[in-house]
Amino acid sequence: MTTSPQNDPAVVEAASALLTEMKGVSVSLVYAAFLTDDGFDVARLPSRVTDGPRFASMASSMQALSDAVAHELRIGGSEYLIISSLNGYVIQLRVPGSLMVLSALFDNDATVGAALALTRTYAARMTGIVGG
Amino acid sequence: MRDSRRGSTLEPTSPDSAAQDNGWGQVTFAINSILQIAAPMLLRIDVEGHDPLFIDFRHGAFVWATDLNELPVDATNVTFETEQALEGAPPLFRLPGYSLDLLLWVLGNNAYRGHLAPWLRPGERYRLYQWPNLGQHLHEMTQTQMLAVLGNGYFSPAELAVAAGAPVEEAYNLINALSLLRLLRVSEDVAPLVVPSAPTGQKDKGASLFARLRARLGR
Amino acid sequence: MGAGMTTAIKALSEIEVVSTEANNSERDVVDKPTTTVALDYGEIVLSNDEKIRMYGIPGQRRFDFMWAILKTRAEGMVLLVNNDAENPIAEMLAFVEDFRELCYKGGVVVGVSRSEIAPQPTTGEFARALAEVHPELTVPIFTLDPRSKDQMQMALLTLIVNLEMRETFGEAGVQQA
Ligand SMILES: Nc1nc2c(ncn2[C@@H]2O[C@H](COP(=O)(O)OP(=O)(O)O)[C@@H](O)[C@H]2O)c(=O)[nH]1
Ligand SMILES: [Mg+2]
Repeated sequence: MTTSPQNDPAVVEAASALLTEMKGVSVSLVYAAFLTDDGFDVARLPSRVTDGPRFASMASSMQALSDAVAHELRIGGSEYLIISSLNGYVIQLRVPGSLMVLSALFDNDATVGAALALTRTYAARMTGIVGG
Repeated sequence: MRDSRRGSTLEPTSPDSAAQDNGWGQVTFAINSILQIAAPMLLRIDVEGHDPLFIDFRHGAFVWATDLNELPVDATNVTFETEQALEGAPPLFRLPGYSLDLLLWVLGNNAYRGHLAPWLRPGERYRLYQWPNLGQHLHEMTQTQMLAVLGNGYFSPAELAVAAGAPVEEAYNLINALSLLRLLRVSEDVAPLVVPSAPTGQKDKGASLFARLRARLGR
Repeated sequence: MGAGMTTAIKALSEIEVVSTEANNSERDVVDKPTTTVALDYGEIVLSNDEKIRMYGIPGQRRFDFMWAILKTRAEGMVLLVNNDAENPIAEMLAFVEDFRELCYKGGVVVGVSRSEIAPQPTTGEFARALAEVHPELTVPIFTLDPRSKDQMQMALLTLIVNLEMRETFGEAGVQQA
């Protein structure tokens, strides 16, 4: 049995490094996390955020619900998920080919397009690391 | 108020109990008496045409080759012997056997054929304090309905029957079984339960959700 | 996880169940490939304008935000407890605390699953443990195999009749005692 990502030090370290880099690229990035399909935190930024595990669980539920809706409507697998609200938005997508999800919260200074592009890039980078 | 497990009378209190006996009444009465005093007893029951049934009260277990679902409701020639288990004596049969509760449910529901068990007194009201494990007892939805009623207040068998819309005989049978299983609170002095509106759980708009779902599922 | 909640919804539902299974990364806790991360959804249709909607929600505490969502809307709950788990009685008690209000309005039935694998504790032991903390509660507790449609229907009907009888007699019963 393979080690799950949250328990694999190499994966955790690589994920943290990617998030730090991501934050360096976008000042609008408020919070970002890699999490497992079933809702465990792999890495998060800022790492001191205390309800990170809770966010990870909610993010995995949202991911699964969007997949269920997409499946129900027969529009293929859901590609990404956006929650837009007054003071910012959440962009979430699967790390292609893996059992992980990248979820990121941006403030309103970034455009949705730029934020989505950035999140996609880093999800793909993660695929490069864990394979896919 | 008195706990149904206390009291130690070994004599039937209902004068007509012998008339109701279908062969199982006396055995059931004996079993109840042993349970009441929590005695470390062994019991062997012989029913014509069946292998003997053994109960080891110390372990709350019984063994019988006959499937309980085939339990002869009218048994002729039921005889039984009780024996005090000696201190440290080995189990009467290979454990675990079957849970005695299974037998108590069946006997309680069948032994007195729609009449109050002789150890219970007319005028008493009963309230459920713990549900039987319905997962292990064959039961009807009417019984579930009566259990749900009994979980909410003290009822006499007649009141229970009205509240659940069940025949009074079935109410007696269930009360007998629950009493045998030690799942009832008993009270002689509590007042009848007064329900302001319609007492059957049926709303004026028609059949209850329970009734509709039951019909829908064909149960 | 592993109590059979997803299985139970599938046994009861008349429509194709909406499920949210994700890869299970806790195979050391319960060895199965996937786990529910949001909900399972199923229905029983009663008539053109009435259906029973059933939601299965994961029991892991990290999903308690899902409990909060359903708690405010649910009429009743079948609480499935895996008897083969570490401490099933403690698990039941914790959920009863969390769904206290629902319990007190008669809206909870406890189904003890995997009892054929783990016969102990017995339902009597569950009931006594519950009575110690909540002596006023009379909760239906029984062994249940979520794979059995028959047993799941029985559990659902028990839940509904218990709710209805509670509504009819509950108040008066409290006054009486
Ligand atoms: N032997 C046995 N297996 C069960 C029982 N209940 C559920 N299962 C099995 O346990 C597995 C996990 O069930 P699932 O519905 O995914 O559990 P969930 O995590 O609560 O949703 C399935 O393979 C079920 O068939 C039971 O009472 N006895
Ligand atoms: Mg599940």
